[in-house]
Amino acid sequence: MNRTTGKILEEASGAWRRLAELYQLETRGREAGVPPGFATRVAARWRECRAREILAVWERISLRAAFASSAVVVVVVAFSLPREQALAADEHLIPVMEAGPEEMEWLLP
Amino acid sequence: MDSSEDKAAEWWPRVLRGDTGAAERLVEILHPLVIRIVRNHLPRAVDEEDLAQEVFLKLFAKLETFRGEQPLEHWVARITRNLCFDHLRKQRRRKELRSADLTAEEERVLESILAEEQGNRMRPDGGEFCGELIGKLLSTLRPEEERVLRMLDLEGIPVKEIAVVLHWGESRVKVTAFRARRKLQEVLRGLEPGLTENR
Repeated sequence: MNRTTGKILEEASGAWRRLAELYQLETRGREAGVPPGFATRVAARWRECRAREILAVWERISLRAAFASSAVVVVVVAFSLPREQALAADEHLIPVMEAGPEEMEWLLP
Repeated sequence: MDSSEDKAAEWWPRVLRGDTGAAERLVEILHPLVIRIVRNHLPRAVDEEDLAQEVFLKLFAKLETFRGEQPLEHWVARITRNLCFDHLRKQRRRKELRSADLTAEEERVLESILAEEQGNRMRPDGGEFCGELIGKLLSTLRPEEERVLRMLDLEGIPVKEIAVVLHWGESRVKVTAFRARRKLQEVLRGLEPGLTENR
């Protein structure tokens, strides 16, 4: 690519170039300082976003903890159920004590 | 490294620790850079302050991913441009631009520029309406063409730097800019008869 072609490719020309120049002049002329309160507003919104994020993390953690604890309860219940059923089935093997303890005083030394 | 970059580098670790005061200070330091890019890439009907605020929130949210391998300002500029282009992409693209789509002020600016082009010594003014007019003109281009022209002609970034930002070759940047400008000249030529009719 020769130098002239490179220049043509790199530089704008005509009405577009003029428009771009006019725009650049206008934007450069604008005040570049931070608008009053802008930094404070951004920082406040950022703090809100962070708080929301932290809350979302806590919600996720507590939800998982709730699921885990309910799963533990289900497992414990599931394991203890056959034991109770077995005890109920063997109930007829336990001798029935017909006499009250007061009638059994003679057994005492 | 310039002084503003030094200052920014000093504050961002504190922002990472959640220091709101440091966040405010960082906003003040980076504001000139962010607002310059936002103004040059401002979509129609979007307030520049709202967009700048969105840029800063995104910057703070992504600050953890900044590794310090490149200057902070380069990283900030890249995120700002990407966010602006996301907004510009969301806008419905026009197939063509007619003089009826322009406001009276935009017509006036364009008329004075075209008159100057034809050798009439008419001093173009109304730069405050250029942003909207430029947005309308650029919306007739393909997104990558718009992106190149905004950086090259509005921001004044050299071809070499644009090539780095876009991960393109320099010649691709030049050819894209050349085609985009030619398209714009055609659009402007197409607008001319409508403007003269309205005179």
